[in-house]
Amino acid sequence: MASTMTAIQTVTVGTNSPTSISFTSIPQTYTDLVVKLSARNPNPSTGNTIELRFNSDTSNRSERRLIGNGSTASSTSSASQISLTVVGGNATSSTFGNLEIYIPNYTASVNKSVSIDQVTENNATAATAALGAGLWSSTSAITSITIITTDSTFSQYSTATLYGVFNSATESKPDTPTIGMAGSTSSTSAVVAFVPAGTGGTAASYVATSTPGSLTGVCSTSPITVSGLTSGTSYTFTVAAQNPGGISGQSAASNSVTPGTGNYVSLASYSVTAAGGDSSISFSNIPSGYQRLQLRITNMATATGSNKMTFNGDTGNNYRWWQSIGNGTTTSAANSAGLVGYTQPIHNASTSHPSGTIIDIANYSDGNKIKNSISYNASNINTSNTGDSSIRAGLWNSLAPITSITFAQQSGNIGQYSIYELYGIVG
Amino acid sequence: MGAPTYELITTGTGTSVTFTSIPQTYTHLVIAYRGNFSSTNDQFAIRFNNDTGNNYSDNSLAGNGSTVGSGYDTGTNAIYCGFVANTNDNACELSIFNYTNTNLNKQLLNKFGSTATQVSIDAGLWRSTAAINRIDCFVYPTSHSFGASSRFDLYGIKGA
Repeated sequence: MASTMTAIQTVTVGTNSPTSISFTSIPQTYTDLVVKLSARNPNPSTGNTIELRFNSDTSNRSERRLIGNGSTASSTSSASQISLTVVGGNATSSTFGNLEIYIPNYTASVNKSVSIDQVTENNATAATAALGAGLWSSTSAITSITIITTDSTFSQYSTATLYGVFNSATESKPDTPTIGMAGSTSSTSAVVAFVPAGTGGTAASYVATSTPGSLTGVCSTSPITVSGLTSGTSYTFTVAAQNPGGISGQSAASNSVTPGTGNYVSLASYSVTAAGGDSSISFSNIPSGYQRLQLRITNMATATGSNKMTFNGDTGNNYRWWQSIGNGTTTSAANSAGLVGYTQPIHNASTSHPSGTIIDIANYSDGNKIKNSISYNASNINTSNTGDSSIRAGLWNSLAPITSITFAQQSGNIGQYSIYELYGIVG
Repeated sequence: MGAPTYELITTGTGTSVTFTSIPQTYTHLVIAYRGNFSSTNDQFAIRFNNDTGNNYSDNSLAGNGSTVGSGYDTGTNAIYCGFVANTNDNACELSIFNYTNTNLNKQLLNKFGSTATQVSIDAGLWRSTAAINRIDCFVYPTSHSFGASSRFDLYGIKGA
């Protein structure tokens, strides 16, 4: 049993009185086809027979028909055509006959059998119902369908629509995507990032749904924008993938988002709780839609030295930094190029006191710009003054939009009680 | 109307300012200051929870367009930051990280500009894990003061 039906083409007859209605260049991506026809012709006969042709073939057709008009029934057959019937000019004015043609497995290398059911109104006193079984004895895939009358024309407003049908047993629905970060971009909208499953059927689109309210947004790639939210209300979002084969399960819920009047949006926060610290911290699936990102970091280290920041998992020689640093006694400046994966934004001169750092990354999602960052670092001041104040500019030589940021210490771990927070700033 | 992530808590004006009963509902605090000082060579001083013990230290990196300098203070009774090179039109953005977190000593980062005459970045530490509920902003030396029209905006930043 078919699970979805999609309109492919519609033909509506104007004043040109055509003798045929055609569908050409039929996509080969469906399982079955359906044609729904509503038609009339000016021929005064009570009913007019027209033909059905596939791929312009005028041969290789046969049919059996069962016809009833409310008083008599008859059955006919033909070894040369597949017949359809529409109302003629004697029928009550503005009345059109309606029929449906079902063509299963139209791309398969088998002979093509079709079923036809139709009704016509002849003259306000009678109607005809007909059921037909047709056969096109050809194993070719159907690429065109022609409905043609050989002794009349189609009247204005006759309409035919071609539908493609997916059989759910053939088309696999996509698997459930993985939720990413969500954040507000205005007082009434939010962006929701996600990662496609990569398994299951190919997703045609993705839908984000809010809780509460069940407001939705649709897109073909991450992130999804959901609009119509209420300022001051907290929302979470789930994401599902869909294609004609069906809809995946819902992802896990996103982080909570409260659209408001501000343009400084909290996206994610991570606190190190393990006594031995964490080897790295990552923010992944960062949504686009903000003018820039800001990180506010309190860093404790299990060993002295610098913290490194990388983007999108790039550990190539694609980073550079410049710094000015004062340790309370002397000042210095330095730079380094062609680094393997770090920009050294955070420095801990002691393991006993935290450093405070603010990192600004402008144009992080702009695919036309190399990525720059600036970090202000206040490094663990203590009674013996083993800290420093510094400004560091970093460069990641890539045009790719930043979708993930990873931090790790050059030596040891990111220590317990470290807190890393990511904000999006709306332009 | 929803509360923003970065929100003005209160504003103070005058020759010195004290913020009390600071809400504990944010993650970070930011003080935005602009105004005048009574003398050059003054410093912007900040104290937490009225702790006048020698529990503070700081260091700075400053440049005036021709030379660069760095200085520090240890075991002081306040954080001294923002070295004043011109009495007029000074401004700073002072960030206080995780002010309610009782696992951490309190870290401060200050970006200070003195009338296009000098710029500095300052690091400060209050060696206390207590949550900050009061902030005093004043001038060092204490015989000096901010200009009467100086303005201090206290902002709270919420985390995720």
